[in-house]
Amino acid sequence: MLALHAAWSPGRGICLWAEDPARGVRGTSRARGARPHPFAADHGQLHGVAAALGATGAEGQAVLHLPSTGGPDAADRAPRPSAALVDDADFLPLDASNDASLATGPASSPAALAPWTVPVLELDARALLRAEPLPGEGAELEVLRALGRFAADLVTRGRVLPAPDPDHPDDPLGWRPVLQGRDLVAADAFAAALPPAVRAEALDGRPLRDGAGPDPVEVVTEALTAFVDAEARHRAAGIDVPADLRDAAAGGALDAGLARWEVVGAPHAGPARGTFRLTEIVVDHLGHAVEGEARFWLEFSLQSTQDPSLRVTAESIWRDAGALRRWLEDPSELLLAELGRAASLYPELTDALRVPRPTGMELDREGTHRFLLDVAADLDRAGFGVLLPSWWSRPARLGLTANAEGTATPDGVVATPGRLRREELVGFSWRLAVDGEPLSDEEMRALVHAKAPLVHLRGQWVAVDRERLRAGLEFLDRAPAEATVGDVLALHSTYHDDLPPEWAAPLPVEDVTAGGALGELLSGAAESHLALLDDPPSLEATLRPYQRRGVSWLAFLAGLRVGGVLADDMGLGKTLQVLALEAHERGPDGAAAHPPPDRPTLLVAPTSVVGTWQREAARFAPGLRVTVHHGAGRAKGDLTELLADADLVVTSYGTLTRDIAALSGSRYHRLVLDEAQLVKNNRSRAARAVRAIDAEHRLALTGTPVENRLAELWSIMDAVNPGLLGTVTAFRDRYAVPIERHGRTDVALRLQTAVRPFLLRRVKTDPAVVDDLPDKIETIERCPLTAEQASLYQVVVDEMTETLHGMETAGKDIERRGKVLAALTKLKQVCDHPALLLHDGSPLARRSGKLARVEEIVAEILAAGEKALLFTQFTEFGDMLAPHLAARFGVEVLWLHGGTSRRARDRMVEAFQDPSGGPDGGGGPPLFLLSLKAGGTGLTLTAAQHVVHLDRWWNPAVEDQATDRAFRIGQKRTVNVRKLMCGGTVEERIDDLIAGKRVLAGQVIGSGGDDPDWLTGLSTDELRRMVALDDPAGESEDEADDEADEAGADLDGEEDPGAA
Amino acid sequence: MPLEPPPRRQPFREKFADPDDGPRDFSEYGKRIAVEGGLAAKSRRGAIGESWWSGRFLAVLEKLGVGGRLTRGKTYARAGQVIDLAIDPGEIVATVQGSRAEPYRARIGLKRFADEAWQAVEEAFARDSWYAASLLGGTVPDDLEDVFASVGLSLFPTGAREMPMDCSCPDWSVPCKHLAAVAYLVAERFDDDPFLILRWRGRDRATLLAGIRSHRDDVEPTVTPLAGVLDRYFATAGPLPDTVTAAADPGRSEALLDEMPPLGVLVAEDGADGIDAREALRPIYRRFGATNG
Repeated sequence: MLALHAAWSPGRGICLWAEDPARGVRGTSRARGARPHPFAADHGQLHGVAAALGATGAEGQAVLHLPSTGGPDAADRAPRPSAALVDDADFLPLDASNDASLATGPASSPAALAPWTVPVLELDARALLRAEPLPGEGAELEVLRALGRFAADLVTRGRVLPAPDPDHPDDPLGWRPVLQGRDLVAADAFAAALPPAVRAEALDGRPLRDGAGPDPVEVVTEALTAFVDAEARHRAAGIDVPADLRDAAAGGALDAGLARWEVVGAPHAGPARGTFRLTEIVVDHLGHAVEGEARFWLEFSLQSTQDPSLRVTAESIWRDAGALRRWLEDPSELLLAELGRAASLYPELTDALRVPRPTGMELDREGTHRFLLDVAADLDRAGFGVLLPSWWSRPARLGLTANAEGTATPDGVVATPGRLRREELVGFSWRLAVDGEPLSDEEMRALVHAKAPLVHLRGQWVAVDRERLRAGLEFLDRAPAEATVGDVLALHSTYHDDLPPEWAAPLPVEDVTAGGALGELLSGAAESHLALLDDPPSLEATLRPYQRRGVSWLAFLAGLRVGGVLADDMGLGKTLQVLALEAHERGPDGAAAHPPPDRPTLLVAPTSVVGTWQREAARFAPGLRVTVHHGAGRAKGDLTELLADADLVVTSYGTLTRDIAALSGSRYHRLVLDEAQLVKNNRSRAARAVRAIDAEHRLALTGTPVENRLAELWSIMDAVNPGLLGTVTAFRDRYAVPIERHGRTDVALRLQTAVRPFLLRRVKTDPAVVDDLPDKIETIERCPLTAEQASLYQVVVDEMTETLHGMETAGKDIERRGKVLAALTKLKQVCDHPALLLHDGSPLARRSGKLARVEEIVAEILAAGEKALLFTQFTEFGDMLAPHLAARFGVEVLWLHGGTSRRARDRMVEAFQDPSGGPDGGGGPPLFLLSLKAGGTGLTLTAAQHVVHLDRWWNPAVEDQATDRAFRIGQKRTVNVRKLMCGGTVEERIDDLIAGKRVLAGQVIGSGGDDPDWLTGLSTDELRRMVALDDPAGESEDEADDEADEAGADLDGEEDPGAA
Repeated sequence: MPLEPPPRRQPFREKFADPDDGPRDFSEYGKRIAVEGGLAAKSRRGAIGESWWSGRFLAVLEKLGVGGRLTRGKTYARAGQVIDLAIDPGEIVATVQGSRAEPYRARIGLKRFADEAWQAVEEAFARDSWYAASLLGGTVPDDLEDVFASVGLSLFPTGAREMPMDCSCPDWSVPCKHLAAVAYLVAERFDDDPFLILRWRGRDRATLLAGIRSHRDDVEPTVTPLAGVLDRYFATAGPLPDTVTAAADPGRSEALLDEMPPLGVLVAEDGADGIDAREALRPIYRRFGATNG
């Protein structure tokens, strides 16, 4: 293979020549002057090369000065082959025994320059641009090709000026490059890199004067000009240049104007400024790796202010100020002036200047620290350039981490709920942390012993503030070495300003970690890592896996006497988890860990769900003694006796507020706040009452995502862990304002870390929960009757009994059935709303327990951004409800009933299913009210994730069919189905028959129709028992009003519009 | 607060008169003639000459203790009575407008250092860049005097005898207020450009810097001789630069052309009226940018 070379020949351009490994012609010519090169390729071979480049070239000869070996006698000399040729396997120098130098290669023998004539091809200036490099190309071609690309780029950027070329009358518009800024520096770099062989041509065949050869700068400038000219002409070839312009160029008419252009286009790099670049000294000037104390080098340089990437080091300024002077006026004086100016800001610089040619200064660790922390910013402000190592971005954040060790449970062993006690002492160790990373002992030692707080950590240099480091180290000396589990929790979650003095660290506590169960609690992983409790034997239900995890978590917190917030999505069974916890603690299995509690748990819930709690407790945890302290007939005065006999005391927020004196007289095992978001207004009476209750353990239940509602989060957290998040004012300053107003994600993260041990929230879409969930969750919700409803209900029952008594004797069977059905319908209407029975158009608000519950449910659904279907069998109820809900929540409520036209119906379905809000159908009205008959079949309403049955139909199959409007193909989420009924009424009785007693249920379902024959066929006494009002949770009207004041107003922070 | 009788009004003359000012009815002590575009001192109040080095210069003047003249000189300097000022090797020459129509000529001389002395100073400067760096950075290093002391010289005049002053005004005291005004302006010049002190002493900035350079033995760029690089004759001698590879951007390719003034040659284009040759070139520049590489 040929070793390809090129030389730049002034006037001729690129001269391609080559060494041929196969040639061994030894020079024998005695001709005067340059002899032919013995192993240069001939013109034929060179044409082959040119063809491979896609170029042609004129044949010619060139005399080149080449390194040569041999004696002073010209006849003995031979050109030394280039390294590329020597490496070629084909290269076999002839007569090797005679010519040791040829055999042993270029480096081994003394050499001198001698002229040799070589055949060349004169390539055109763009030849090297067309093709990729050929094998065998030498560095000369590489550089010339790069120079050609550079020239082409100058043309692309228009960094060229016309250079009239009268010698070519056909194309008199020549071009030349404009080299400014970094282009000028690039050209200089090309000159510096230019392989000597490029400028090897012996002009006029003469020997070199003092061996110097042409100036590389001139060669590069000439080549660049030729390349630019060729490239620009090539590109402009398609353009029709006006004849006048052509003539002007050829005739010299442009010369005067172009002389002015030359001034603008003169080489210059623009103004420069002093720049300081800090680097670590890794190897010394001899190339040896630096050992021992780390040192840094502050390098001086000048940097173009127009093009910051253009920077020239002081070293090259001193070495070659002359070259720089082409583009920078007095570079060395400018450098000195800048250094002198900088010395007034940075006096340490003075010493470095006390040499003839300052290039930089060495800094020890101390000096580097000072430079990084103070000087760099000063210099930057004063207009100097400062280039800092990439590892340096800012002073590292110095903080503390604390680690609790030796907790009762060793690492790797999962904790059993209840084992870890709050008072337990744990070993406690503090560490300094840099940017949140705790330091090892060795790193701490390094930091302490370093003269300056600049240390090499984790592979990079880190500077910390000296004062803060001192304060941190002092704190480590006096920091408590032991702490209770409670302290650890407080330290983890309490804002550091609120910590007691002995814990008050001078630096932010960045992380509190612990081993074992405590560690998992702190990291928020407790729920998924705890050993699971078995379902309590006394629990009449099988917990789903996530519920079992929830109960275990609650028990773990209870063991620690740490308050918790169970914030599972609605429908995930918070009630059941609390009941299971109580059953676990109070059942025989609870005794294993610690004695069962001898005090009752006080459970506070909204009035509308007091009955639900009572019934769910009876159903799922029949072993618990449940007392409802609510309603007109509740115990008054001293409650000691009542409490002594109860495991669970259920009350409402209204009753709690009113009876706070009596209720706060006792201590409780636990306080449970259901729908805890209702007490978010911490100034409300309910909130104050909640704080007055003394309980060993406090739990809050909420279905709303409190972690995003900071005011709610604070009140709920403060209710269960008083003081944990500080005062409400402090909380607002530290968290709420930075997060909500300034969008500070770091603060949000800190808050999340603080509350995470105490908050458990699973959403229905959690993978861990989804697997456990049925696709459809059905819950039956019991609502209380208001006093008005109860008295109306009683009137209907009495009327019915009276009417039927007369009929029983008369044997009017058909008429009797009619009367029974009418009465049952009236009863159901009362359960829905008194106005439905009275047909009087009276206002709706606060007269129906069911309506109150509907409003709560709707509020939750809307808060979650979800959609609901609401079914009723009474068209008239729908007529009343649709405008009421629309006004109450300010949303559009669709209302579809038997009288709705087909068109309107289609429009409603389309609007409800509107996909514009996203794949979940987030657009469109969120509430769709349907009559059971008109809307129960045929429609697809999968945008809804919730189905609420406002009243019960006799046949559950009809309800199921309606439910399936939402739960059908296309539904990707779990559907929540709620069936509302009024506690103690015929609705509940029917539900018991359907759900609880399968024998009777079989009859019901077997009847297949809507007509409850089995009911109408009952005797009057049986019927009476069936419908008679059983009122465990009834209440007086004033109480309902009172609660609405407390809870309703708190719900959305404004007046209930329905109350107006 | 009890009312005090108003102070007796003093005639202006008396109030501003200086006891050693000599006869007050001389016309030359009349109102000074305002100068348009005079060289006013930048300092509006208090001391003039913020830096220690101009302070050193003024101290010589102040040691002469000519009282009120210095104060009035300062007022003159601030009022812009100095018409022109030149700080040259060996002397400072200024023209000051006084109360007479004809401005006065004021001169402050100073002994120039001999060339040999300057050579020694330049040599010291070349050994230690600190001096040049400070001077170029606009300050006189506080150890600069040591350099002069080491060659037996004092940079600043040690007394008035070294600094002959004269003024064409009829005031017999030296310095007169005109000389004082000049001195204050000179002090301000020294603040801004410490090289002027050295110039006064006989070396202007360019000569001094060139002298330092020659002593520092700054190498003029020389061509690396081919004969010295035989071992790497066919190799690149350094890293190739990262040249910018521009994306085709027609707008940008005209940027240089936009900087250029018109060529002043009209070119007729397709029978249309003549346009400047610069605009005739524009399509070509546009084409440059449209074709990449």
